[in-house]
Amino acid sequence: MLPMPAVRMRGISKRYLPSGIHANDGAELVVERGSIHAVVGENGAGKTTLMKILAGLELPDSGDIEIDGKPVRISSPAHARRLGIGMVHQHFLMFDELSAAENIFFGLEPKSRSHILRMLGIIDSASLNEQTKVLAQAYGFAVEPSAPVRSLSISSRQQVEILRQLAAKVRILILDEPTSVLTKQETETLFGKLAELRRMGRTILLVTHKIDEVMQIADRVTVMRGGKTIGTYNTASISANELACLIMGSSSYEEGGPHTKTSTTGALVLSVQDLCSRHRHHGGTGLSGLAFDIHEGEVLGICALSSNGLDELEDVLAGFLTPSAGTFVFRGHRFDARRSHEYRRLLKEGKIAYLPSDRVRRAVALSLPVVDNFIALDRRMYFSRGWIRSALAQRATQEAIRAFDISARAEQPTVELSGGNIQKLALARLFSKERAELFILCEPTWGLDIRSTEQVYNRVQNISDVGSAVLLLSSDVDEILRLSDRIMVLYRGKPVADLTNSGYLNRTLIGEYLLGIRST
Amino acid sequence: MEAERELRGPARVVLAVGVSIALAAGVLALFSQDFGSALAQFFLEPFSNRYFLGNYLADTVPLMIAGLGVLIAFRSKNFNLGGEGQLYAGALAAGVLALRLPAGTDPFALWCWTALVGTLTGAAIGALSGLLKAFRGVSEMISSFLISATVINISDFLITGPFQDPASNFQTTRQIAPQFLLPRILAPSKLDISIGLALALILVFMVVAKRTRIGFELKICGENEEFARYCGIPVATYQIAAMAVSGGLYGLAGALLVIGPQGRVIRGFSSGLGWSAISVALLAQGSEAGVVPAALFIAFLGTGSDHVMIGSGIPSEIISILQAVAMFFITARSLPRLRRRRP
Repeated sequence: MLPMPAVRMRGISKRYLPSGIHANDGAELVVERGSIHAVVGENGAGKTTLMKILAGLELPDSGDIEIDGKPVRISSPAHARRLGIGMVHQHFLMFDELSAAENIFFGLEPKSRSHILRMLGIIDSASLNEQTKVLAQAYGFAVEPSAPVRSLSISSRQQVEILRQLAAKVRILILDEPTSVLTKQETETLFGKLAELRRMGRTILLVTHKIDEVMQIADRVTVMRGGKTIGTYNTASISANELACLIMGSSSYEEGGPHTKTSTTGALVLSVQDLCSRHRHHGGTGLSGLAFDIHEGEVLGICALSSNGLDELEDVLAGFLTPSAGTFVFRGHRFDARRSHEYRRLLKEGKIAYLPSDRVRRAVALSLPVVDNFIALDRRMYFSRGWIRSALAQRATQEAIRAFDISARAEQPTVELSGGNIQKLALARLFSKERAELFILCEPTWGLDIRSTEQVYNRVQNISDVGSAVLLLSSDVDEILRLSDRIMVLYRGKPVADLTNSGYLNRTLIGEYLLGIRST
Repeated sequence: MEAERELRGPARVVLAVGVSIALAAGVLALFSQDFGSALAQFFLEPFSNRYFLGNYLADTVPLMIAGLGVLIAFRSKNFNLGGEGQLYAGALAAGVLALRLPAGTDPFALWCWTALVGTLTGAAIGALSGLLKAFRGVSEMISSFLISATVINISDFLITGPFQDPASNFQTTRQIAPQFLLPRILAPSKLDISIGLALALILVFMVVAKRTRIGFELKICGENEEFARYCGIPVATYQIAAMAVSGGLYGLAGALLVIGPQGRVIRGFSSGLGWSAISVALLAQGSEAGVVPAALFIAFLGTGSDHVMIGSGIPSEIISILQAVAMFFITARSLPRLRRRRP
């Protein structure tokens, strides 16, 4: 007799009202117990919706679900949790003001040791912190229990999310795009933990669109396209290329080649000198003595592991954080970096275009329709003498939706879009602007599928070819190697490498700089 | 969340309104000797003749104007809890000006000036809370409430001190000359032409919100402040402006009462109006057009209870419980059956 599958989902359909878009359309999923099962597909293929249904966050319009062979109707996240199902979201859902320990044990708080305090329902935060430490150690995570999660970096927040599920003793753990926010090394660590959990008999569902990760860690993989299940395969018996073709629904797939320099470097656009700033996150490092020049037609990639200054650099260049020292020279105009309003004027006038890494918090207002988010950055164009130009806004939004292949309608609330589609919206908006002299792109392909990633890479190539300068802030070493003419590595907020990307560079070498093992 | 608002908002409001009306009937059944006539006094009498109907509609005017102000502040996620003081101070400033202007002043010019002064007084008090929030990080809820409490006491002092009518036994200023009061419609009721201004204001704010850059930017500030900063919207300016507009509309509502139905500034005459305006904004569920039915409903609860008090001797305070119940249902985060999970 075959063992009972941990999860069996049949004929799952889900339509989002009022837009009427089918997120799932008769989707199927069978997951063996004690396996790592990947769910792959392009942006908007319905992966996340299917997982949300399994986690009790969405009710399906139709379809059956069986957990361990028993038919269930999962009515709420609490119900899912009782069934042993837990989900770690791509956009973390946590209490920003509470500590890591409080988030992890929310709803499971160990009561105080003292009898009277226990009767009053008072939580003993010392024992909460202690238990968090024990839990984190058991799974090899490094989490500071008492730090408010607001102050944690994105990768630490993810660890808190995973620990929260483990604390609730889930047997079926769903991870939605877990590696999109992680560096290579952090990804390796995570996969080590996942393999460990598999050995302990837990079932892991991994939503992703990174094919190499599927091949590396998953036992089986289910491919989704347009809300439907295309098929389920053993990773041992399918090649990466075949899988890519299945995902895209095309018969051939060609990955872009390695970096080649196609444009010539022109005049100096921005020069940054002796830039220093305080840290932003708990445990972050701030910046000290950062300096770089960036020229027309040049792509400068700056790479760092989390909490090594990349977030702070992004915030300074976004005009959100005023540096403590430094000088900017933009097109020959020199000014003190502490005069942040001068820098912000460059952003406002569109001379510098900036793509935020945290797209949900900074790049969109989720509750507003797509069209509102699309026109929000370029209000000078979409409002004439203070009055909205609705027809123009509609037309431009629809054009962007077509050009960037975004699964959305202009009037649809942005919250209904998948993470990848939100990112495409943010990119479309940026590239639709009149040509900026400098593009600052932070983690531009986080959460994007292969096809969209290739699209973005081509766009970056294009804007660099026509003479814009591109500053790429990314923790994805492959991306940095692929796109950059020059590569800078930050370690503990200081530049440890400034290299020309001329063929001798590879992941291992960059990795050594990233980890602070090597420096120039 | 947009979908949630669309599906859930109206259902919630209908439920809240329905429950409070049913409760009103229940209260009448409990406390009245003659249930039938109490019911008629509450539900029918306000509409039974020109006089009652006019008075009822007059009560909606300050609720519409001030409620609109609260709504605008809500939209930018600013909560103005200082309406009581802003309305009172606006009324007093307008009243003092109307008493000081020479008897030969053109009435229309006087209305414009008093309305302007009332608005500016309320706006200045509101803007103070906005400034404190933008530059000192002080919660606008706390500051507007506390400033309002101070302003009320200062106004009380001014009315019973320097501006007290020496000929009156009441704590009030002198009477404004009759030619300076707003012309009545539906005489002899207290309804005057200010209802036209209230409706026009609602229309103007609707257009501003839907069609203009200012309305758009204000909406972005309210939905996601970090995104607003990314877009280069001056968030602090909008914080201050939203509080100023909110306070200004409270002030205007006060000024119109003084040059309209009241004709003078009586101590404490506006007590409770500031809070009722918040009820109106909550009922309107973020829509300018919704302010009209919301004000009609809140004013109806007040008017109906007055009629029952006079006709059947039931204290009108009982009806204020109903208003609280209505608000409870509207602001309650989760309702059985209506609950929908967030995505």
